[in-house]
Amino acid sequence: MESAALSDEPSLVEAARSGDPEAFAELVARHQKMVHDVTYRMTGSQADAADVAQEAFIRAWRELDRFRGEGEFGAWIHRIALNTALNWLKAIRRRGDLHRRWAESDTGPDVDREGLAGRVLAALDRLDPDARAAIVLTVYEGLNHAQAAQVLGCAETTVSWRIWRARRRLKAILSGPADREGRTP
Amino acid sequence: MTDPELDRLLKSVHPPGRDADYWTAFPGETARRARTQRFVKERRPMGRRWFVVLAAALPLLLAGVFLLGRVQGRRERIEPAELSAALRIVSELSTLFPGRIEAVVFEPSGPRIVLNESGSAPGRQPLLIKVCSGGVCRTAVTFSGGRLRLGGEDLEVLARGDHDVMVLGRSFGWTTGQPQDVRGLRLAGQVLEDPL
Repeated sequence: MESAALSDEPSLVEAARSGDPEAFAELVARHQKMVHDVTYRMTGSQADAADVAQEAFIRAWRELDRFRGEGEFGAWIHRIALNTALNWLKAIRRRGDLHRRWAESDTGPDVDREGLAGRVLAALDRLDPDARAAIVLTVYEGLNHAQAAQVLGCAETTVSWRIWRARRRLKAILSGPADREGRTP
Repeated sequence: MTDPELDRLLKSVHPPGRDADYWTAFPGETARRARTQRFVKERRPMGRRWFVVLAAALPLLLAGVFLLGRVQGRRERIEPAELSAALRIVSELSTLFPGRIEAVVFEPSGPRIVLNESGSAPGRQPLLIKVCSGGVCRTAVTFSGGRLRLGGEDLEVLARGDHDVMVLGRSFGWTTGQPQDVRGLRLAGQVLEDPL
């Protein structure tokens, strides 16, 4: 596999841009773990995280011409993954089936839905999508408010406001007792 | 619960692991699907796609214009619930950005905060104004002398006496008690009694 032998990322991006699927597969292999982490934090479901991760990579493939190569490919695909997951979350919110989805969701074999991990995921599910994205970027990804604002395409003060509101909501949910179904108030 | 305690709690949950076969298969499968999607995308004629989008959007646009017109006709008062919600949010934001809030604009998409750079407390009379333009209404809490952009107009908002609000635009002046329709805008204002 000639393209996979290319070690530097700009060469892989260039090869993928000219339509080389093996170069693109190599880029996917390099960033798939990070992208799956982001989509899992946003969706709270292992199956949905896989679907959204694949959708994000396909979107990246379609938009490779727009990647100017000025920054890191990883940062670019991270931004696409976050926004793809955000749009996905907003779409299922519009359909109003989030709580049904939570009841049926496949959080993964390591997650005890009645335990702490389950409660944290349930609490994140009860945030609005924009607030959840702000928490994922700042708490889990370690971005500051200005960097998160850049990823989300909004003002820094908007991110600060969303985080403040999300923290208040998460504290209220996670401080309360879990109900019989493992959900919190 | 403090912020660091919350962060520790959130970070205690890690994404579940997947087996090695999944990570081996995912790149190839994704690249295969991507190639198919690109092919489908390139085959669809651009002109026809735009036609379909426009044809689908036109009835929605017409319905939207009709509904917005109706909403504009209704939203000319500052409702008590709206007032108390605005006060509560501004009061909470004051603790988050002490002495830096110049205005809080309640957009249809959510609150937008306007901060002053100096960080000095305004110490002026808080005012609530509502501006409707093109069927969309925006409410803002600001302070006497505050300048903000609402409904496409640069406005200066002033307290006049104990009860009246004066709004100065580039080409008009308006005070509470006057007819609400001014230069394509519909205005309402109220002096806030509660200290922020």
